Amino acid sequence: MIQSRKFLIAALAVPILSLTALAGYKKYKLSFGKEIRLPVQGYDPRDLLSGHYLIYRVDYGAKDPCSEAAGNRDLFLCLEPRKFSFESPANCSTLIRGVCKDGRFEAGIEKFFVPEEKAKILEKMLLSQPAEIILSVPETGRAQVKNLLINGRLWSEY
Amino acid sequence: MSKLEKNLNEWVSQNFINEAQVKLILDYESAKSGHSWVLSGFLILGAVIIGFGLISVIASNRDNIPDFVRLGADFSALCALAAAVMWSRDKDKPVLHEVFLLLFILLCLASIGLISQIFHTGGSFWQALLFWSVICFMPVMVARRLFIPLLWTGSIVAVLFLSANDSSVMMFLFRRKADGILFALPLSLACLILILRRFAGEFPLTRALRVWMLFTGLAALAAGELRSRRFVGVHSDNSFQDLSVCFLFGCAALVLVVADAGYRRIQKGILVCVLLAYTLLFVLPLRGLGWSAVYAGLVVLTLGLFAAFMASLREMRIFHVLLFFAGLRFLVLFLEAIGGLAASGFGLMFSGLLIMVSAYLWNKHRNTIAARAEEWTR
Repeated sequence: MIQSRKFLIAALAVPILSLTALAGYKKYKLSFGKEIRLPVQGYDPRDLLSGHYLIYRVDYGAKDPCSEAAGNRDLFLCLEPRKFSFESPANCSTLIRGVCKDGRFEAGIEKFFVPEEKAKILEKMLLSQPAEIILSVPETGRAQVKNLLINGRLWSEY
Repeated sequence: MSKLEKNLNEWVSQNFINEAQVKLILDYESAKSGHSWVLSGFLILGAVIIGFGLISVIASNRDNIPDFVRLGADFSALCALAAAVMWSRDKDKPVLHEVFLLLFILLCLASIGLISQIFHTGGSFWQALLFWSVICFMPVMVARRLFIPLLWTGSIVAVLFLSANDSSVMMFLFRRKADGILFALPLSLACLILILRRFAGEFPLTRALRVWMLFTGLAALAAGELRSRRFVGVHSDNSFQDLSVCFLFGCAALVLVVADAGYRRIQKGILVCVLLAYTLLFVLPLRGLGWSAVYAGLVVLTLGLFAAFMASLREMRIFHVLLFFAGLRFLVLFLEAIGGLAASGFGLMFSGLLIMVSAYLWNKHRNTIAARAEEWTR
């Protein structure tokens, strides 16, 4: 056991600073990324740590080559012109970066957390009505979900 | 009458201590009652329940509270708990220190959930758990009791299993072979113990790592033996490359044991033999030498040698657990060897009698065996 007071202060500061940095980084990505919209369709499972979320299949508008690719390979989607490639494209203004997982392209944008009491109704709406996610895409291509629209309206309006 | 009072009466009757000394001892022990394990156990249980309650409240995701208020409240609670940990340390209140520290690390986990909820981050549960394990490593090092380190080490073990088929690094290292992870786990934990011992000495985290190393080691031996029976006379479906990480951790542990100045030469010798016997256990099935008396003998040898090592450290509880499993494996080996006879009525009666005699002899001589093992390693 380490008894020093300085070590204890550092030990308590490290998690708080790390969590602040994580929240700050996520906020930065949301604020400074390029905003795009993609259509989605999905259902509602549950996360042990963060509660209810909606999960959906994103329509990227291009043929996903993951079914033919083996393993967890990195994959890049250029949005202008819309095309998948296994190498980072050189001249692409908006890029989403992800991996092939279980034969599908995953970019870490397949979840949207919702309040417990609205989960059921939103799940039903997401299955039956047209929906879109609003993404914030930074230059690195690590996209982050900003909001969810169902029938062209924000989910929180329902 | 408590065990202490019984012992004191016996020591007085043997003239080891007098009545005045008995009174002094009883006064001292009753003054310590505030730090009893029952009290700290219930306080820690309460803290665990509060911690999971916090996670649950955050998971319910109340949209009527703005995000910045939720984040602000969360970080304020984290800072308040950090201050409470400092306060309890300065006021020398060990039980409260442990309770506040436990609440602090559980709130860190809940905070990761809150951040991922607010910013809709993707990713798996094991990634959140891994991040939590990394940022909470230092707080775990200041824990004074075993519970927090046990929880932390358990989360590391859970991360390794949950990420086996999800993380590209884990899939590259273990090629989706669960037994590779199982074999590597005790070795990697052993390396971590040896590194921590070198830089910080023995403390609750090293004890927790040892508990998990034993638990995963026993699981690896059981799984390895059950699996090896499928490959008697044929090469297993694993290759040397599949288990290369196990060999790497084995070599690292070997180097760390030899370089450890805290162990005596005989202790180092025993540990090297344990590592070699353990390595042979996952090499044999690769060569088509699956289950046999040799394999079972190696299991007994590994357990027996490690038990002797534990006796040399005066870790009597672990010594007894290991010797129990070594004895049990030996008994099963013996019963399997006389399989034809065991099927008959005489065989069953003989087996029952053997178990009873073994249990009796074990109970009668276990302390002598422990003392001999300790003497032998001096």
